[in-house]
Amino acid sequence: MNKGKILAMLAVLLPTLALAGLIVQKESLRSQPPVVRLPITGYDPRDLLYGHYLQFRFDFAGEPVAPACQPVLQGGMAEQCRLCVTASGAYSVIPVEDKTADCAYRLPLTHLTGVRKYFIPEDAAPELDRLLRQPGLVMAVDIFASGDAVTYGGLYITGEPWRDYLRNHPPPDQQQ
Amino acid sequence: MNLSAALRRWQHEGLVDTATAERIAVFEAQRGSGRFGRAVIGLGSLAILLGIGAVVGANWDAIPAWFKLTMHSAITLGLGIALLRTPRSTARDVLAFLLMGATLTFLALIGQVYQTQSPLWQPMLFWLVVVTPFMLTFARHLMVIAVWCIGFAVTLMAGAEPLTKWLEHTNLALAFFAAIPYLLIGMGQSLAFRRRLPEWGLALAVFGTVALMLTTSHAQILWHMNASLSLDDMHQIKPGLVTGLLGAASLFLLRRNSKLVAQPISYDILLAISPVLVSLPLLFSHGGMPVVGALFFMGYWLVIAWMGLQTGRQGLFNLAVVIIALRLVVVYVEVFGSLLQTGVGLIISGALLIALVLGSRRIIKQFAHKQVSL
Repeated sequence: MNKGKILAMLAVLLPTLALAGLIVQKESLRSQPPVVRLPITGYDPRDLLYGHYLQFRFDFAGEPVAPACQPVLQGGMAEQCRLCVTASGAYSVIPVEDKTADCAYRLPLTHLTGVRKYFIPEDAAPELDRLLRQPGLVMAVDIFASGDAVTYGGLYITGEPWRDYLRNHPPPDQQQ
Repeated sequence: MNLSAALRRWQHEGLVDTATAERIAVFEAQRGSGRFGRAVIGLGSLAILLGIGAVVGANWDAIPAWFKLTMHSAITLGLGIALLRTPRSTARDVLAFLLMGATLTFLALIGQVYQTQSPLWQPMLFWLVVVTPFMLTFARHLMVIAVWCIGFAVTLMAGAEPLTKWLEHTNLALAFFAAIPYLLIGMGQSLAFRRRLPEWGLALAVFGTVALMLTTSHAQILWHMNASLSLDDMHQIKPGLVTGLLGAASLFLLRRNSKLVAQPISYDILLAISPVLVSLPLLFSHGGMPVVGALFFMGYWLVIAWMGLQTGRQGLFNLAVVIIALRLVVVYVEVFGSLLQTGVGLIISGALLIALVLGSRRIIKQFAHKQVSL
């Protein structure tokens, strides 16, 4: 086989190989237990849903946030701060330069602040939208991480996977 | 058209003899046979594809993620192998286009399954990097290459904000964007590149030129605004202007040394004045100068019209004349807008519009005639 044919073959295989590599990277990230489960909150009561995406913010309001990192609560300063997750699963927001905190993981906040989105099936959207507005109901997302790579896992409602929760708690208009 | 009736008419007028008419009738009858069958098979195949799409769509959430990813991998791989085995033809270009699309939808699927939170520019850049090698190797149809160009432009637009932020301390953000059309034109018009990939050369040169023309035309809107820039802004604009001028000068010199495709002088003038016209509204403080902006806009399109004539592109010349005429109408509304509320004003406006349309048509016809006689 000549050099041209080998290059042509590599060129057509590149998309499949590169995308398969991406899947392997994501799977290896998810093969470990989640680093932390973070509560979420809707960010705009008028428009929580955007297409098939549930839009939300991570809710750090009840957790310790270093004074220098307070703007993180409004979605700013993501590059200057980190999410410190201890071995017991407790977490706080600390400045990048704080090396004294006892953290098992120091997650970058670039994917954990501001408006985030979570893909959901269209038929579940209205109910999840209603639940996200419901006061007192805790919705949370699993966070997987390795080094600086962060990816989201399952969406939970009061500790149950969202699909199980919707099955076990049908909306009021569908209850018999 | 009824062929039998047309043949009878042509025979009657003496345009074809009886033997020719019979041969045409036989030829058309043979050509048409089986067409109905093929159409039915095509419709059936389309219905099956739509049905599969509908079933998959309705059960999308019930299909396990691993199955969706595996199937999409198989589709992408299958398209790649088909592309490799297909000789140069329209079918190969269609396959390259489909593989380009499948790569993008595969990325979207991965984003959906793994809830990736990447900003748009990251998957777009990934897509561009993985599709460009097979596109350069196999895609030869200008329309398919144009889709790649659109992908390139979208990636650039999606990445503009982070790139600007990354380069803000160097004052080179605008310079980076100013260099891109000239790099595309230089690559596309390079004789060495044209020998290897003529279709890509043409597409890149047209893409770069159109990007420059659109940016420059659009920038004239800045004359309508109150421009009072800070020193920081000025420090960004000047490197952009210098980069554009250096790009134009480099292309001119390379062309003079027969390294690039020959172009008339109007083309090099267009390349040189574009960065000046983009920067000019921002180079000094003003409270808005719409008439000056209109004059620059029309002057720029006059150069494009000249370029259309010199390069023999009648369509470009016609487009430029129409755009200048439309801009004149807008100038009239901008300057004498209040007159439109009066009867006399309406009459003058109507007369002006008719004069512009007739004048444009006359100019186009006149120069079209000259073009033919050259």
